[in-house]
Amino acid sequence: MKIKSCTIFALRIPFVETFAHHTKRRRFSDSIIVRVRTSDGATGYGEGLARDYVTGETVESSVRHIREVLWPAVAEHEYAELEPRPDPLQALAQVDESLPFMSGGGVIAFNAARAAVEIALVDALLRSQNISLSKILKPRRAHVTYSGVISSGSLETAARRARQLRLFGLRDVKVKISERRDVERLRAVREVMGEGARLRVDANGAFNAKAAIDIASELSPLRIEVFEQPTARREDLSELREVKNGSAIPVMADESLVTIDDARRLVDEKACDYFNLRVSKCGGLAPCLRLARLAEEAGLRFQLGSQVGETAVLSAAGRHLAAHLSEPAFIEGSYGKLLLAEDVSREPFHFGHGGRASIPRAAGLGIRVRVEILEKHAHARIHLGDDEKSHA
Amino acid sequence: MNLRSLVEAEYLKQADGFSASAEFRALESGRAGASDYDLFISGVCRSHLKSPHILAFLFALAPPAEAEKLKQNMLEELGLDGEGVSHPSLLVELMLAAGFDEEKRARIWSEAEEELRSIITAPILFGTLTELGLSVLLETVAFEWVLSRLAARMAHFLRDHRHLPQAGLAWFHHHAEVDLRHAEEGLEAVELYASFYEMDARDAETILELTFRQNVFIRRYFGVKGIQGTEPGAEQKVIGLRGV
Repeated sequence: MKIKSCTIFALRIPFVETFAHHTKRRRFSDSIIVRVRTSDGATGYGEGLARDYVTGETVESSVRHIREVLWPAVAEHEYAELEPRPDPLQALAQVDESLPFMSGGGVIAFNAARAAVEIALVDALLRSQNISLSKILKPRRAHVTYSGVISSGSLETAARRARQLRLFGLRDVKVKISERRDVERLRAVREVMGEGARLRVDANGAFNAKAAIDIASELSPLRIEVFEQPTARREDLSELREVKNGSAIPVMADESLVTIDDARRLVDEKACDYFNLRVSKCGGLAPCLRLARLAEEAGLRFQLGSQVGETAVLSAAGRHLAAHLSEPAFIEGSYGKLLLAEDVSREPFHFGHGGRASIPRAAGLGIRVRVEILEKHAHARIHLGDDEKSHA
Repeated sequence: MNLRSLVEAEYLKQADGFSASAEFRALESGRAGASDYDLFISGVCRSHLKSPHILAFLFALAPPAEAEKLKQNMLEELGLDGEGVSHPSLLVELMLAAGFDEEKRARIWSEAEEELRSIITAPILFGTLTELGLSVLLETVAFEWVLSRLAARMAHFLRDHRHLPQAGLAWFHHHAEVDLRHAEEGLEAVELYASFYEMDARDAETILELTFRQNVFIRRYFGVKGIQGTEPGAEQKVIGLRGV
């Protein structure tokens, strides 16, 4: 089967409230949605979120990469049906192998672009066959349980947000931190959430090794489960390893884990205890499966993270993966209209009380994308293949 | 502050935010285009055509002391009280006065139904019906409270700038008059509800915050575009992409 056309939507969907962490404040989602059509008329959607401080991609460079590299690779490929296999990597192999992993020009990896196209292809091919992604990524659990997040801000805001998350029944909460006085915010969050809650912190690389070890020491009495990306991403992993060895809180690699080579080095140099896998950051479903496998083989645990501002498209892909992976320690995402003023799917896709969410069973990703919402929030559309001809 | 004071303060903030919004001011000053008035009318109709269903839900959850009042509200909304004018029929009159053809009216009905469907199918974030009910009650009373203060101004700008006849504006006149009473009763209903179900004061306050994270009037009457902020540099990004 050939892929006849592709449309890239660069979106700007406003947030209900500002989301902030060490390196960024966001008021809207800058998601890239890719729509592909197969020769038999099936349509599929994928999504990626370019993050210059993570993969080095921008919206512009991701869109250019899709147009100039990924689309030509897809357009000339002949795709067979996706067949459920015991090993989902085998089932996804033909899609995975048709999409190159590339870097260059200051970009660590064009993974957001690749993820958007990979997911769109998988969705389209499965819709063409009228089977659900859950047949490929067989769920190991009936529902997925998500965790909440508290962005950077004042102590009062953190406590208020914690009260909201407690009311939602969430027991896993991640708190963004960037300075020493954030210990007070964590105390306030712990007080609101109670002793039963599992708290994590994420510094997005805000500290040097010594400062990270110091703050970890102060945070220890608050029983923090994981310290995510305490130091900035560097080629040299010694800082991250120093924190891992000097802190009582297990360390999770996020920005330091973009490619499979990053993962191997993190394992070889024993620089972290956890991986944070994110579908967009890591280049799609298949790369995440490989990274999860690598983590398990190395005796590391992993979190399945998400992108702030992701729509139901990426959330659906993430949810299938979360349901399939053997033991994700924590799962993030599916905020939907809790964060976005409007989501792109007909089905409300955010999690419910306790962070619980069911696994979609309809064909492909299992959601119905509302094209009028894409059109409404798109600030750029690029038509390729047959779509380009029809819009010429 | 007690719950009633917090709720009133929030309603005032909502009313001020709505009436001070660029969209409202453009409609009131006559600077808005004809299509903007029609979008506003569509938003109002979409938001309120299904109000009887919401009231029925609240009736089911009402504390005994409040049930009779809510039943009366619901009957009034359905036109089954003494006056015999259903509120959805007033909205249909509004659409007819605005010259909306059958197809457009059907589309707005369908959007109102879809909105209700979306509410019903969305995963519930709260742990109990008590909490969900308070959130729905707070938003419903907010509409009565704010409309009692702003509906007359809305009717005026639709009369002056969209040139709608008085008969077509009955829905606004009705809410401007009747909801002064409903708005006060509504605040009492919120207090009674929280008290009857022995809700924790902090939880009730949190539900209030969650219910009004956005200005619900701007969101419902003007849509997402109305709440969209301008991000510095956004235009440059668009221009940058045009060259891709």
